[in-house]
Amino acid sequence: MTTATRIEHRASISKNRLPSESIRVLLIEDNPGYSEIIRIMLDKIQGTRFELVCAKRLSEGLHHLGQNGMDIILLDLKLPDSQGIKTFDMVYAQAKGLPIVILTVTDNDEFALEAVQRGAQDYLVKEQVDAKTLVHAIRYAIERKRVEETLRETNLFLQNILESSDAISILYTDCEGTILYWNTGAENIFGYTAEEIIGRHTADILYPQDDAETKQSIEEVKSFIVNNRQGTSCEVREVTKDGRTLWINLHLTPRFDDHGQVIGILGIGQDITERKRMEEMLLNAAQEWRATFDAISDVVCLVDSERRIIRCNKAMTNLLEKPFADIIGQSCCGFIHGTEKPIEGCPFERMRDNLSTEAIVVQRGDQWFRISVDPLLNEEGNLIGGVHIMTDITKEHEIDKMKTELISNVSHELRTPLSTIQEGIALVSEGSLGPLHADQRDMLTRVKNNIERLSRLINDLLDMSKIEAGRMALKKSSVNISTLVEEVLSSFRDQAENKKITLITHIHNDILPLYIDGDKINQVLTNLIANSLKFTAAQGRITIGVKDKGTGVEISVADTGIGIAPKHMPGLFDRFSQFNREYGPGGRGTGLGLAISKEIIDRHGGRIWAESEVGKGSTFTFCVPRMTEEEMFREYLNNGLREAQEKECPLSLVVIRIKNIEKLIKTYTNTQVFTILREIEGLIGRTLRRKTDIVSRYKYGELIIALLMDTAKKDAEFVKERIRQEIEAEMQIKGWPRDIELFLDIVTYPNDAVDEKDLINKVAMGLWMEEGAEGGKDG
Amino acid sequence: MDKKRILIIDDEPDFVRVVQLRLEAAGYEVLVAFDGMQGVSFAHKEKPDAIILDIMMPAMHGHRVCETLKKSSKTWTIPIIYLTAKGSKEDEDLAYKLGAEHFLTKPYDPQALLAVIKKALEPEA
Repeated sequence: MTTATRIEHRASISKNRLPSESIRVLLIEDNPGYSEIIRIMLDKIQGTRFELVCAKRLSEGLHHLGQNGMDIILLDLKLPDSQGIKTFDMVYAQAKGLPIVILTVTDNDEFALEAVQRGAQDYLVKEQVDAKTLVHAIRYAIERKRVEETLRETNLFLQNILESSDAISILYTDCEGTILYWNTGAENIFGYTAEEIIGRHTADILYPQDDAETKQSIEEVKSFIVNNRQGTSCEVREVTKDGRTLWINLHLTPRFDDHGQVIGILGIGQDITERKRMEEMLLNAAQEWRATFDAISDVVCLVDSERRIIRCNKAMTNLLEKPFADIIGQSCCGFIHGTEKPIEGCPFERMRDNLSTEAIVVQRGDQWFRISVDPLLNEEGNLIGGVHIMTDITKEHEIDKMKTELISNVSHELRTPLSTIQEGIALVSEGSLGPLHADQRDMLTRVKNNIERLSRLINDLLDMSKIEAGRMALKKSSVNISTLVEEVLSSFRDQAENKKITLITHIHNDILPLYIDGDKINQVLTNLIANSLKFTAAQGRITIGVKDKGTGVEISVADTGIGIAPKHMPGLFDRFSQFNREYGPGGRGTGLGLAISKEIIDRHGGRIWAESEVGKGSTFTFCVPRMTEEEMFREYLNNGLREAQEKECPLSLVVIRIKNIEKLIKTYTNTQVFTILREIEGLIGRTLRRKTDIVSRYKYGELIIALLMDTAKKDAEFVKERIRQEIEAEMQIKGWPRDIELFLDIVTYPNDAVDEKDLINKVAMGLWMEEGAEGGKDG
Repeated sequence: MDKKRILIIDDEPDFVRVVQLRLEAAGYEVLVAFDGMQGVSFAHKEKPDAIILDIMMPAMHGHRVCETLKKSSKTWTIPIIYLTAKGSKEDEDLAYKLGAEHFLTKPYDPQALLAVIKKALEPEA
């Protein structure tokens, strides 16, 4: 049972018994006459029943005490078997907390007084006792004893608390700071025993190296409590007996006297040294981290999975010219880009989609940045955000630009002298300037080959500089891929024959034209075949395959050469990568060929890849997607329109259509009709004089459209009439069916339409209306 | 039939010389101008059958030469073939816009040059 409940229990017993039940009185008195007087007195009392037990000797009294059930003891100190204070001591020892009232003969009985000092409740002078006094004394003694007991228990309880708190120091000082109480906890914490410390000043245990300000503030805490009469807490450094410094969290409370004056301060202290150390460590770690984070010159921010910026470094606040508080918690799309959704190509989204940390380069005002995002994972490995790092590469970018420009300029400057040398050598070696003997011719051939090589290197460098400057423009047109491949192959036949390498082709028949930059695709194929020739030994084979895949064309160059080691495969298409195929007679290249090829194919929306096995050979394959006639026409139209808008010049479209195409298809075959359409397209192509004019097909090829750049409507009329005449002449020559009904119309920007949609509508709709009108006329 | 006459306008004497030899070997008569101004004046005086034109030149820029010749009623019919080291798309587009017939870059393929000249000299269909 805890101390607290025990106190309550006892208090309730005493409270309940006093008014209702009889009071049992043990009278220890050797004079039977006096015992009888007491009995008579008690019997007279109204309202309370007394039960009197008499004992004539001490031993008899003690015997009764042993049997419990008494409420009070009336004790005569002079007994046959014991006299004086000794009697009291004996009874008191056995009384188990019962109130004792001493019966004495005289008022100044020294034993009686001493007994009261030692714990008796009261004493009564026998001659002066009457019933009223007696009952009053008994009641008062019981009550007082009860209060005393409660107090004693409470004290004990508090004492227990104070002493049992061995991890909490509890001390009490007077207002000046002199220590008056010191518990076990304090002993444990500080190492001083109560005897050692009580009477000393609290300043004795304060940390002596505290600066004046700290000492001053401790004094102020003390005077605050005394003056304001209220408690407070503080953290102070104190020193143990063995010299260790501790951090103590002190709760200080004033103690008041009955008049409300502060008479002392109770201090409850807790050793928080470890907590302080951890705090300091955390603080240091946080400061260190912050300082490191801010020292990074890259712009770094942490973004959570909801795209909110949860942290950023100083470089970022500097870049955005905004304080931390304005940045933290903001959505990166809205705050940085001012968009609701992530911007196109956002590296954070890419990282979220496929954990790609590939960097992108962006321009921001005059600055260039490389941005990469690293995933931020929690302990379970789930993605919880990203670390967004922006590195200022303005300087590198400028140097890179300078390098690109330098290469471009130098290459240009090299071209004219190179051209002169090349042509000069060619003229001499061809014998145009007089006959040559064999040795001279042989030498000139070697020179020529090397000049050609030099020329290729310069072209590669120029191409690369164009790619790097983002200036490689494609000049797309409708290209017959089979013809292109044959052209490239024919330029290699001699070389292959000389090296005793067999060139094999597998080319699908009737591949429909592709809308590509023929020169650039030629360059890719030339590069691949040249590489294969370079790395294939005599008696080897190079197989060129062209497959129509419907949505595109796949071209492959497979050789029986030395192959490429697996470790060189990943960087194969990187700039300046020269994979360790051994060099044949062709010698070293620039290492740019494949990088340029890849760029060209990428720009066509295609793909290039390689497979290889050391000692067996390599296969390089690229595919170029096929654009539909519709897509081609739209691209032509868009390019033309953009140029016309930029240069503020007109753009005319001559639209040629076979009016009765459906009827014709029924009479003849689909193929026949479309062959005629294709021939008309070719004819118009030849009729157009300027290279900027373009012929295209639209509506699944049913419409043939000539795009005339910088041509006003009235000028387009002449072209239209010329086209009509040409077609009519061709009809006669080729003997096309006589019943072909042609319809030609002109749509001009900006007269008829100002945007792409409108132009296309006019191209299609103008025709139907015209047809309807003519149909009406015929009917 | 008379030899066709071709005017080369280019400021690089060595280059002009090799082109000249190449064209003469192919049976053409060659006239030479070493800057743009001279080129325009020769074109007016001599009425060549075709002109080979560089871009980067002193006195008058190639594009200016082309523009001037194509605007003049005396010279606008003469086909102009650009032959330049400055082979950017912008230059090519501008050349065609100004009315040039062909655009070749240095270093050139002699056969291609001859083919282009031949085509330029053909009477229009």
